Amino acid sequence: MSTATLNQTVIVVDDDPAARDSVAALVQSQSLPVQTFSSAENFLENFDRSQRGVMVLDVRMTGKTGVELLEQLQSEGFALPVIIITGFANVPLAVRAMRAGAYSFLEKGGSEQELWTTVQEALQWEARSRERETLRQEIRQHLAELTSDEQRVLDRLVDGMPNKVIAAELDIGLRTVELRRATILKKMNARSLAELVRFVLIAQDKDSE
Amino acid sequence: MKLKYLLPITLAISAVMFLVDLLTPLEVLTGISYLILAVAFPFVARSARWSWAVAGWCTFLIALGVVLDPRFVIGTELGNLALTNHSLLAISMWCITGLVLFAVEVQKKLAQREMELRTIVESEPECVSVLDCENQVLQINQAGLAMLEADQLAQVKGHDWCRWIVADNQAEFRAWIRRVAGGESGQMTYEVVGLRGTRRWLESHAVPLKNPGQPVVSILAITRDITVPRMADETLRALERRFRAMVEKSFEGVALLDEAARYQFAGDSIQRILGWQPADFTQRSLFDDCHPDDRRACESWLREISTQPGESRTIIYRRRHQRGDYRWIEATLTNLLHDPAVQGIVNNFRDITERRRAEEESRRHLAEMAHTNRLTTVGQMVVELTHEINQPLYAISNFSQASLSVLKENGADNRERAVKWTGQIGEQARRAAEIIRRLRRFVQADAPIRAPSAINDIGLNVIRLLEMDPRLHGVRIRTEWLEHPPPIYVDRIQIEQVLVNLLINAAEAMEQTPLDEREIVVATRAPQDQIEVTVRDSGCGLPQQPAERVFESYYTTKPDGMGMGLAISRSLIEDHGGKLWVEANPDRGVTFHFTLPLTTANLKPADGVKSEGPKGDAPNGDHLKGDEAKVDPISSLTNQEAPHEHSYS
Repeated sequence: MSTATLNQTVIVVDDDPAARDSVAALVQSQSLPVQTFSSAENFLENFDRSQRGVMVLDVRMTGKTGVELLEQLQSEGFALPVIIITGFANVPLAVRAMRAGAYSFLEKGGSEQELWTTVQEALQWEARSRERETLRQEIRQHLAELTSDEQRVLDRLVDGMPNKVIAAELDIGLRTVELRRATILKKMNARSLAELVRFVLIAQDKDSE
Repeated sequence: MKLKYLLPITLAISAVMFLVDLLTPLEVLTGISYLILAVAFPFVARSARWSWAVAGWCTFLIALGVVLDPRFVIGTELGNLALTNHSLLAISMWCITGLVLFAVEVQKKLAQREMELRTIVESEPECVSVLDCENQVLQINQAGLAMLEADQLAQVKGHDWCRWIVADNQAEFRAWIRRVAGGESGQMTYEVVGLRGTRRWLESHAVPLKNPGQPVVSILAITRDITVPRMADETLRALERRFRAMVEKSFEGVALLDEAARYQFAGDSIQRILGWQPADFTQRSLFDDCHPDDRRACESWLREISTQPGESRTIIYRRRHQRGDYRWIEATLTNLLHDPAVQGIVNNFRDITERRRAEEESRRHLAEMAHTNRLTTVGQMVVELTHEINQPLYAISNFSQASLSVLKENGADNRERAVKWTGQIGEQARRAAEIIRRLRRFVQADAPIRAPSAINDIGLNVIRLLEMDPRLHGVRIRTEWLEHPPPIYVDRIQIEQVLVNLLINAAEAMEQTPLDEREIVVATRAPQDQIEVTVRDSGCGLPQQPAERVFESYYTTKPDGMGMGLAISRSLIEDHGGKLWVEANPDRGVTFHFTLPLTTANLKPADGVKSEGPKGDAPNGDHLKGDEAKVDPISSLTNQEAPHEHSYS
């Protein structure tokens, strides 16, 4: 899939002009749009939240540090992947960054391919996660259409109960369970029970990459 | 009436009388006339010459009377004969009277002469005495009595002179007097005890008194009291012995030079210090054993003092030991050429070879400590350093990858971008190299080299270096530079280190200070003959203990501190001839001050000297203040890195 059609931008936040410009050059050399900010404050003020893409964020900056910015964005529900770049990596810093939801944690001066590879991966991930988000929205919409009776049957189906057990537990007829199950599959646009379970997990945000 | 008229008048009267006596038989008148003459004569006869003149005149008159009066020959007429006899008688009486008067006169003169002599002798301050050949005192003057503490002549006269002489000198005195009595004259010094018990030293000169060809009858002795001069002389001699001993036995070298810098005198210590016998050393000159490299300094040293009387200068130079090796000598020349008692240049000196070696050793030790301190400082900066160096490497990596990407495609636009980015690669590489160079210079372990430096440059270097230190993040550094600071003669690295220590110290003291109040003020000033640098912080101030404790080794208030930074800093500054101290600010925080002397006129040998050279090898460093001018301050200042660069490997 083409990034251009996905309208993705690489956002660079670094207070060192050379470092900033070099990332911009790298991105431009791949004919991708790039947007640069010299500080966290500058970014927060001027960034358009509807932008899609990936963020390359330096840790050491005057003012708010990269990790602090990441933590703030995360609490605001910011969804773009964030690659944390640091001049000197240490374990506590890495742990903190990953805990704050960084996509990746890179050291400056590492292999020259690494940054670009990571950026590309992050862009794909972002594209995929955007698709998944769309799917999740759909599933949640379908879930909302279920009646409370159907909901109760679905919960037990996902837990892996056989129809008989469900009928006994809900004190309804086996036939009723079968009917409701067919309705649920239809409403959820699922072709099989396995797919139904996946959809529910996606809706519950429990899917893993 | 004047005496000189008396003679001719008397003679004239006597001539008239003679004629009257010859021509007229008036005997009575004649008698009266002679009587007048007899009375007048004593006045005439005041001297022997006059008396003889009158006597001669009378004899002439008598002879004339005999010639003119034939009757005197024939003797027939009684009256004339009687007259002639009268005349003769009177003239004879006249002469006798004259002679007697003359004798009286002579006696009177002698008495007067003697009185004069006695007065002279009596008023003589020295003792004049006459002894017989058995030492008995025959005569002695007042001064002599006083010398023997006698009140009356009787206490002394007729006594043996030996009676007053101390027992030790008596035999010698008797022998001496015997020699004088035998006809020699001579002199002797001896001690006497006066009648009242006072001891005196006397010096007698004695001559034998005798008539020619006859045995000696007595001895004239002139005696002087030499107690005071003798005591003074002995005191002086003792003093001289004492000073001579002090000079000759002096631990330090003492010598005297003439105008041409030749040694006139050298104390015994010369043998210990330079191996020469004092007598041999006096054949040499100041320049004979001077190290060739120091000769010029020695010459200017001598020139400086020889033009100014009383001037004194000290230098350090190398001088060859008699056995051939060179020793470091600290020497002072004092120009006393103008002093008539000295008439030379006093040269004091000592061998400081061992002291220099110890100083070198302690300086080397300090340099090692300082290096360790710098390594520690840099070690603590390692995170930041990695960051600083990775920054350009990261940019280089990105630019090169970007350039590669665009170069694979064609098009003027792509080439233009590649050119721009490749330029960036070079720039970033230089940036990385600069960081490494700055660091390398700070941690290098070369021997310290002192060169003229500008204090502001040192300060700027430090501030740039510390931009990398995490401890100074968030701290504002304000500078108040002195405009056109005079150059100082220092080891740049060591002074930079002191500033680094002070700045890190200041930053750490402000950890509790609110962010916007964290400020360090670095200022340079130039109060009289020195440069003063101050580092002011707004931190937590000094601990309760005396402020001076912060300069002690292993004293620290920080959990991970070694307590060496300030101690080493103080040693480094003191080694440069300056001072480092701390004062509490009136509001908050403290100010560290340090000074560095502007002049290089201290006697501390500079660090350029690599080897001691006591075994004869010639160190080629500039250690004499006169030679420091060889370093061109301008070129050294414009090319600041030069002194350090060449030695790096």
